[in-house]
Amino acid sequence: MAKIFIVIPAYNEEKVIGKVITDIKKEGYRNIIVVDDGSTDKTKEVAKKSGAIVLRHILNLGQGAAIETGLEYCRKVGADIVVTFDADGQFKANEIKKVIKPILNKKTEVVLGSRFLGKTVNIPFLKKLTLKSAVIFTDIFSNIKLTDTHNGFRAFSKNALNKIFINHSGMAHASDIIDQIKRYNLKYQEVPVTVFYTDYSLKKGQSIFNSIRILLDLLFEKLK
Amino acid sequence: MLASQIILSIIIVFFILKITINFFVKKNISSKFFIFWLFLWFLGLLFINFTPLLSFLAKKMGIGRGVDLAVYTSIILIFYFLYLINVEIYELKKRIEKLVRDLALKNLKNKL
Repeated sequence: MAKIFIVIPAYNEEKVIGKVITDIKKEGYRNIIVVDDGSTDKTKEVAKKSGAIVLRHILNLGQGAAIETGLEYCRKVGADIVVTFDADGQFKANEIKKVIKPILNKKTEVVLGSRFLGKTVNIPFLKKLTLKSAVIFTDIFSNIKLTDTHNGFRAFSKNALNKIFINHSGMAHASDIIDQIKRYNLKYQEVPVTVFYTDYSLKKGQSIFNSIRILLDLLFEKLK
Repeated sequence: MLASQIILSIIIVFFILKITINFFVKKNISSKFFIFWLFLWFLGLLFINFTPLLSFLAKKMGIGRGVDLAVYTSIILIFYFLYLINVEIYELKKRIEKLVRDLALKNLKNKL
């Protein structure tokens, strides 16, 4: 039986994290790691109460750093498959099995969820435009053709987990992961997933202006 | 050069030197950095008070006026320092990230 771990980076998500964890547990996954990225609300307490293992950052470092902490924990405990999942309730827990299936069948090393192959509910036009621009950017700079580059729903095999180390602490980590897939020549596959855009997730999510910062972060890293 | 210009430049450099020396005495900056700053301000003072020297250097480098050379050099230095500061901040962020991560994982060692 493969040891499957679900890593959820969370920052001030006390309102929804409980339901997200419960939904994942209902699907039969027991190893749920919540990385509380310096939240100022009760995210840690709610996550613990819901039955997750909570890793607490004493400072807010950013989503990339939170995922890396979760991945580091998974490396230490010898996880076979790691799934990254958003804390804001945008994903469907019952799609985890679909995301890990290609790794379980040894067909691929990394699975990337794609909202544009799957379903998006209530996606705002500007958001779609930014995400599509990111796809073009990735195609040019990372030389990988994908349909959705900044989707937090992913799965890594043990081999991929031991090769990919996230260097970007902020939101640019998504491009960083793709770069490393290419660098280490890891087999990857896109799987359609559903992404819900609720008022809550839109308020919490990335603004269009943030994408400019992500772009600058990436350029700095490439020039460094 | 007017006497007032010389006096003003000396006063400004004097105050900057005072701040630098204070920093050094309080051990906020290393002796290497202190000497570098002293040298830089000494050069500044030299060029302000002996403008023909700056004009001579500018002509040798194919730049028309001495003041142009001073402006170009300053811009290059400013960009270089900006770059250094950026790298320093990046390194610091990496170290903080490692520290925070180690702390997060340390508390769970027993559960591993």
